[in-house]
Amino acid sequence: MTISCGRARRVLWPDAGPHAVTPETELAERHVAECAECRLFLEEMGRLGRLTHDLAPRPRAPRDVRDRLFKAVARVRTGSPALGRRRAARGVGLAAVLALLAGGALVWGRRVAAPPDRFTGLAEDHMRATRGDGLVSSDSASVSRWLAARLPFAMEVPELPGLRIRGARLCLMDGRRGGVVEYSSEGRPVSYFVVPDGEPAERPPIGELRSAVRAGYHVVTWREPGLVHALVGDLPEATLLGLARLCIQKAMALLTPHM
Amino acid sequence: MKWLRGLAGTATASRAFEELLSEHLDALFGTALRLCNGRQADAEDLLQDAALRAFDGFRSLRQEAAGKSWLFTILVRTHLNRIRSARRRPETLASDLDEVAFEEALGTWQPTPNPEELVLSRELRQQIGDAVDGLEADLRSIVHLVDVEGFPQREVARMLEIPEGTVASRLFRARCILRDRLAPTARDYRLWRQQ
Repeated sequence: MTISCGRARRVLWPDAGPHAVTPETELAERHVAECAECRLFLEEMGRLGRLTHDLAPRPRAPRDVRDRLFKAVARVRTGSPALGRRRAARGVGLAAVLALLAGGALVWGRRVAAPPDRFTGLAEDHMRATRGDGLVSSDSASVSRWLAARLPFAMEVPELPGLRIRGARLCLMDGRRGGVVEYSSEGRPVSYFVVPDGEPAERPPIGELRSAVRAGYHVVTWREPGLVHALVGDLPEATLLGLARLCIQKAMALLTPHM
Repeated sequence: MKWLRGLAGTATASRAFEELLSEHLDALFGTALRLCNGRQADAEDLLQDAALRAFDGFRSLRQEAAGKSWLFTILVRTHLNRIRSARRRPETLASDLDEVAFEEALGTWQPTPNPEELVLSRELRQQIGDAVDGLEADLRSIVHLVDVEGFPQREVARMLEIPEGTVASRLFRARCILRDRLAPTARDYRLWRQQ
């Protein structure tokens, strides 16, 4: 019994997912084992697929697209008038977003439910931040001096792998003034907040990382005595968690006396 | 199902939806761009339509693991519905092959110099992106969903509501076109096997 090249290639067509092994499959496999041209065919189909997978550009959603999308979802969630299209969405304020963000806690996987107002405030500040009110500088020493002149506590400006310092600004969280160092990771903004701790009712253990998503941004927070730290951005959660651990390590290193 | 039962409150479900959407937003946006032939305004409209539909139907999602496929299915079908409402869309392309013709086409394939090694470069990425973007819409969506996003062909067939064999034959045609379009680049980068 023989099988044509076309039939053998059809039977063994790559990327088709799991399939039953039939006498025809075995026949096709024997054919391919002896047919160099069919082997080349299967190799080429696989290589073209891998080439496309590995190298085809993957555009990222621009920040304004991300913000408009989550605002539209928020409007539906809160039952606001149905303006749910991009063009109609322009110019609508943040009120609906805030209403969405104010409710409920995140219950997803291993993440810990955390005070929604803290995460929300951080994401909100990150989202609306403009460069006009702060310092634009890529020099960590300049940023550190700028913050030191304006904050009632010492704020470190850590240099973090993959992130470029872009400047600093001040923020106001529940009436408490904090500092924000602004970074950029391949054009994506990341904000590092340090704010006086003002939530005695719910204080997670010192150093424990908590994470949530608000308005499309990942928010990772942790505490040290008297201060709350946070990293906010649309980088993957794992990346932000790794950066947060690095911030903690750098802070610990500053406290440890050199031998 | 257990995970969804945990989403007792509406606000909590909203958060879970937001989390899911955020996780796949870049890939969804990239797919919307390819479906809309690179027009960002159209892609954003499509993405927003799909996201609102997904939000409405979020409680129908039964497994967290299926979230990505579920979102992509909604995106693709929203796109198809838009096309169908804009014009009577033929269910098959004039150039779609039936199984017999597909086998014949497979049988007539001839080896050319094949990819020998991958050389990563901005230029090559650009050329592959251009080659994919230059495919006709129905082939481009298949290549994007199968090769770029990595969905199994069976799942893509379900998303697009077409037979699996049609996905395979369109993918074959698309790869043949990509091979031809990349031939000059392949020579430059010595990607092809020397015969």
